[in-house]
Amino acid sequence: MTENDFLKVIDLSKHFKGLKAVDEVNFNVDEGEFLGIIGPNGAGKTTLFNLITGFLKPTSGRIYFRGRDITGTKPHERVKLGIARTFQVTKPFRKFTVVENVIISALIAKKQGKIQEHERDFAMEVLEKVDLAHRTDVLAENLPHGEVKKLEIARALATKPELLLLDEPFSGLTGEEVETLQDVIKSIHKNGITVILIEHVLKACMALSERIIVLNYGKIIADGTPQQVCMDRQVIEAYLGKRGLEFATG
Amino acid sequence: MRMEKTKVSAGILEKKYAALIAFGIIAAIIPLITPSIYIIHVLILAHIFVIYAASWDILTGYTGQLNLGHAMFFGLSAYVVAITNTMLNLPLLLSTIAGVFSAFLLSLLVGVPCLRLRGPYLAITTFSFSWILFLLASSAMIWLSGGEEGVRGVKTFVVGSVPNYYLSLVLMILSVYLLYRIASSETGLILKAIKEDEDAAMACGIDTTRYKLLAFILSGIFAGIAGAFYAQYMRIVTVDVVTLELSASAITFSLIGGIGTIVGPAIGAYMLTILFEGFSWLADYRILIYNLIIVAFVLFLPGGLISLKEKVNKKRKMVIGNDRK
Repeated sequence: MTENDFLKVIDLSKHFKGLKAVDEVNFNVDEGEFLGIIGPNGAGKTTLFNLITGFLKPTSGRIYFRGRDITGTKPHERVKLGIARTFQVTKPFRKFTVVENVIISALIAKKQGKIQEHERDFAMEVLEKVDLAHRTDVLAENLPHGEVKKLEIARALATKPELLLLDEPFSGLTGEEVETLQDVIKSIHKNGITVILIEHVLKACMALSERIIVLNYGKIIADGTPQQVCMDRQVIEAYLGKRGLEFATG
Repeated sequence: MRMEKTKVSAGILEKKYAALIAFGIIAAIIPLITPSIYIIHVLILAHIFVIYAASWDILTGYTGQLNLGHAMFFGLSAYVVAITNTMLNLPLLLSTIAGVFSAFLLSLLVGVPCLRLRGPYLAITTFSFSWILFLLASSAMIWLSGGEEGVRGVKTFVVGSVPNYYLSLVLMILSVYLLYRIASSETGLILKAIKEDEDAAMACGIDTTRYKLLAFILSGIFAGIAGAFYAQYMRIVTVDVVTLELSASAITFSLIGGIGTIVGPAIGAYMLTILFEGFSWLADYRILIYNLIIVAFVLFLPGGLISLKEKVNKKRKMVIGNDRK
């Protein structure tokens, strides 16, 4: 295990009763990379996220972050180490204003010495980044869906992460919203944050990711550049079925 | 932006202090204008229950963890004060410290295992513990508790109704002020985030178990303070201090006052204690009326009395929000 391994997942499995949601998965992520994870519904993508962020404990396998074994640590400890996430089903603090939602993360980051400025100023900075600064004092429950998605990202960013896991940030957005959010995520990555993105909106995922992992039935069936993955027979079969594959390849 | 915010909250703060000072002045002159020891007695009880209700709120109102047996802290502390003072002849101050400390230990005993878990565990355990305490006091350990007869002859810090009135008034204002300060601090915001969504709070980096335990310990300690004061004021501790009714009243006081505000449950406890005692001539009908009031509140004003004021504020807030858009 070397120091320059950023995120290393080894033989990771999660079984729910008989179901192998994640099955002996192995992969590495380099610092600064943009990794996409795709796969049909129920392929185990969100379970994999929950394992990496500590919301679920694996049945077997190990997770290393910056050379450190984090397998048994709790979610808040992983946030402290620099791993942040968003939720597929958004979880805003509904009775809080937009800025208060972000301040919560900033408060903790400040306690941990990750930020120097006042937590409110820092929260405002983050809101600027995700283009929500005009909504500062609106209650989260009054935000439209597209902006709640941005708020999720802002809250994760305010923990000052080195690794950001985005769970379907584009789901339910209009075409226009997808485009602006795509720019937001691109600029987050440009600022040096490593990103792992789960996405059903394949177009956005293909455009953003440098590398893509395809999951099916809890196993990795392809790992490569977006171009390579698109051409992969197993991937096409997973999405379209055997007959779809025959049809596609003639 | 920040300046503006500070200014607004300073305005609200001033109003709050004005109301508090007005209450303080009125409360301070009541003993001077009423000849009735009975009225003074009811008000002392009201002061005690204000602390008790506010202490319930810091856990359940803020973190959303349901405590169904809050009387266990109040009752344990009261019994420990009475027993150590009368049977072990401990000085009252030491007994009081022992009483509050026992409530603190109880909060650790229940909180450490239960608050790691999510779900109904805390509600079930607090309910069971208060029930166990009631059974111990009313039958199993009657040799120690005296059952209905109670533990008698507890010493008092000050003699007489009026001195006890002022002592309880000071203790109440101090306790509510401290709880309110904690609740309005960064810690209070973190506790509320846990109530809103525990997963999201964890994703923000909050050690939710630690903060829930902190709130539970605070809750136990302040209920313990209320129980200890009750023991020395009443000079007798009976099973009344660990009944399910007392646990339930923490909830009803808070519900009517407004959960998750500290001040709301304090107002609820103050008003309901006076109402309940004031209408004692209605005999058993008052329990009926009391419960009708609770139902009415749940149906028509679920935010409690305090929400009447907040409804106005919220409207203002939303206007500002739309303005920016």
